[in-house]
Amino acid sequence: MNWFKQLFSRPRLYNDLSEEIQAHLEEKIEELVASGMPRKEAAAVARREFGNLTLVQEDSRAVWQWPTVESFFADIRYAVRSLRRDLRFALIAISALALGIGASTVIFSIIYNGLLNPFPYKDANGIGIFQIHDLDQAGVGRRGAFSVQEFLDYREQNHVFEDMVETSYLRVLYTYREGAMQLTAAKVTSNTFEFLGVMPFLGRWTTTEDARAGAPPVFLMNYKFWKEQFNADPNVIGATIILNNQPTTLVGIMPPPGFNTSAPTSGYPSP
Amino acid sequence: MKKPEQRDLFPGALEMMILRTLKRQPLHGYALVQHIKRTSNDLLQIEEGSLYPALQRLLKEELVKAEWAVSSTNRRVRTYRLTAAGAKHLQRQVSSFERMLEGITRVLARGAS
Repeated sequence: MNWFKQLFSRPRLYNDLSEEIQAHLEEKIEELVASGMPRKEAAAVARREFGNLTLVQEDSRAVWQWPTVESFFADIRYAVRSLRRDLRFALIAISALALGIGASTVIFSIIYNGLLNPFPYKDANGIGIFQIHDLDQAGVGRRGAFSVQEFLDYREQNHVFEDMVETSYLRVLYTYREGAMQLTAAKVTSNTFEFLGVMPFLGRWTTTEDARAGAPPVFLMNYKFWKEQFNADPNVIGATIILNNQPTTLVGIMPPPGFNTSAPTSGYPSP
Repeated sequence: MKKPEQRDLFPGALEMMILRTLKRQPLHGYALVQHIKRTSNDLLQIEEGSLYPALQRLLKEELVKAEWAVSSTNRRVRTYRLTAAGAKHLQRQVSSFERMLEGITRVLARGAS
C-alpha cells in the first residue's frame, strides 16, 4: 500500500480497528459467560487480559502515521481547543501578545525611521555637507556657503564624492490673477533629484537640459501646496507661473512626505 | 513512543508466531491469540491487545491481508490471511530465528559443562 492511498484510507483503517477490538472483547465475554462466569466479572476479565485498551489503539494507529508531523498537528488542534474552551484567557493572551508585538514594532519603526534611516533618500548614510575653514585659525572662520563658481570648481575637482549638489533657499514672489504670495523655495542644481534617488509624484524632475545656459526656467511644486492651491489638478503640469516676475514652467510635483522644502522649487537657471 | 509491552518476547517474535499460525489457516484476531496461547500451553504471557499493533504492522508491510467475514459462530469478524510475501518473510524469519536459537543453546550448553 503506498503512502498516498494510506492517507485517504486511514479513517477506514481506524474504524476497522476499533470495530475489530470491540468484537474481540465481546467474543471473549461471550465465551467466559458461556463457561458460567457472571457477565460483569467476564467483562472485567476480558478487559484485564486484553491489556491497556487505549495504548493498544494508539500503538496500532501509530503504525500508519508519521509520528512527528501528526503529533505536531494534534498539538495545534489541542491548542485551538483549549483556547476556545477558555475564551477570556485566550483574549487576554492574544491581546498581551498583540500589544507586545505592536509596541516593539512601533518602537523599532520610530528608531529605524527617526534615527537609523531618517531620510527617504538614496544612500542617505553617505550624504554629507562640507564646510571649509582656515587651518591657521582652527576653530574659527568656517564657511559652508559657496559661490556658484566655487561649487563648480569643487564639483570638477572632486575625487571623493560620487556626485555633488548645491542648494540655496530663497523667497519667491508668486503672482497670480487675484494677487501675490510670498513663498519659500530652494534653488537646486539640476542633478539634485537623481542625487537623492526619489521619484516625482507627477511630471518629471529637472535635467541637465534645464541647466543649459538660456534654457527656460522650470520648477517643481511641493505636494501640499499643489493640493491646497491647485486642488491637486494634474493638468497644471506644464503651466507657466509667474515667480519673481519671471514666467516659470511647472514640470513636476514632488512626492507627498519627506520634503521639507516647503514651496515651489526652481531649477537653477544656470548652471 | 512507548512500545507495547511484550513480556518474555523479543521484538518480532509475536509477528513470527502470527505469521506461522496464519500459514496453517486464516483466522481473526481473537481466534489467533487464543490459538497462540493454547498452542504455547500458556507458557507465553501474551497480552491479547498486543496482537493488534503487530497485526497493523504486518498489514502495512503487506505480509497479511484482512477482510471482514462471518465466522462459524455467526459473528462478523475480520479475518487475516497470509500473503505470498508473508510466507516468504516467515520462512526467512524462522530460519534466522533457528540459527539464533541454536547459537544461544550451544553457548548455554557449553557454559553448563
